[in-house]
Amino acid sequence: MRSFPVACRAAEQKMTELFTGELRPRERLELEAHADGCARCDAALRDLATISVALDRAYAPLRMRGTLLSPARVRLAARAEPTNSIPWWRVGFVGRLSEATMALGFAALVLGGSLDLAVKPDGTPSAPASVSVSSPSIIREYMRTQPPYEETAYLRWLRFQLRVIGAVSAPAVRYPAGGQFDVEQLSNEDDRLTHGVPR
Amino acid sequence: MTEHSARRPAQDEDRRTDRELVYAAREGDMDAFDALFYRYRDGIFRLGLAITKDPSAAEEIAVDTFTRAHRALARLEPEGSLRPWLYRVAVNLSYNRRPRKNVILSPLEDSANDTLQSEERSPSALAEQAEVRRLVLAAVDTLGPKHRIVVVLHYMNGLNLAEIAQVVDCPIGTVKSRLHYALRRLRTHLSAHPEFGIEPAALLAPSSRRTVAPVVEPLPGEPQ
Repeated sequence: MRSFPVACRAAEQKMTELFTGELRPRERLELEAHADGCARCDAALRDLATISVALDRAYAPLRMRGTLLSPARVRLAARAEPTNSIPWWRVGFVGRLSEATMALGFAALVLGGSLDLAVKPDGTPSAPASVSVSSPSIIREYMRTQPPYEETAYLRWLRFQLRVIGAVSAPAVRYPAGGQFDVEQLSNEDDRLTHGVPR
Repeated sequence: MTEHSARRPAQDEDRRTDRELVYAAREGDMDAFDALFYRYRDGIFRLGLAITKDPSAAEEIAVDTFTRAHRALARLEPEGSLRPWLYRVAVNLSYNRRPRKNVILSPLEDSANDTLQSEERSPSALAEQAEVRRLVLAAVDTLGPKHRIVVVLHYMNGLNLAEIAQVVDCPIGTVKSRLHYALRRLRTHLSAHPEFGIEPAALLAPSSRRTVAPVVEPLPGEPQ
């Protein structure tokens, strides 16, 4: 019962370091000496040590878990990112342009009922003409940059990639050992999934 | 050449430091970037898993983290390890992530059994261990994000106080007090369960004594 709050606070600081294994031997002796004379800190030390060990054990199975993620996924994702060669003052403009084009394309889609008819309902031929050309590629670009979560859908998405876009850009990329599996799967054209376009 | 030398150096066999790897990757050496990926993917995956409890979300977080690293290659200047930077990005991604709907999350349970079964224990002891583990992890979930991340980074990822301070971008003293606070909160939570042998009576003392701390020592004969 005989304790000073300042000493107790110092002891608390030392306790944390004790549990993380960073307490120097001399400070450890000081902590033990304080805990001998202070029932509160003694109880705290005992209980928190129990909890510390319990936490360590509770996370043990999780510590052994790993992932078989392939670096190819990072490469695909990194390739879909805007490249560094675009100067920062143009990024906003380009981003907004594509958004605007997308919006126009969508409006045209709604008005015309299909992409083929997109040009006609709008009276002005110049601006919508570019819209009808660029909007499918923007949709494709969107598909390309949004890999789905589920594994099967992801594989399907990869196939779509190689068939539609990757046929042009893929040969230029060196795939690592971990990524070859993906490429082999991709080139499997007789699979019936090839005909399915991801939603 | 022998088989050994023909193998690719990517799978965590690269002896270069993070700094060297970052500089090599900046020059366009994709094997160097892959080496970084293999070096840290498991740690980041586990970190995301501990926070989101969703393996596919954790993989997503790992991919996003390295995508950001790839984008930031030109301005990365790791002094020692790239780990604090990667973990900080992963922590932010994990907490900013919206949980997916219609997903039943029990990934932390299934992995518990296979590791525990490898040790030779009686079924009742195994069940008790699993129960204790469930209680502890549930108690950690009741902590706020700031305190939970410190617990996860230390007890799961094995980072020390200085490394945690780098990840969460705080002074070491703050990390220390957060960890202590987290442990105290867990103590309060777990005192309800007799498995831990924590006496609830001892818990009321700290807060009451802290608010009315004795200015002078009580005399030996004085009551209380």
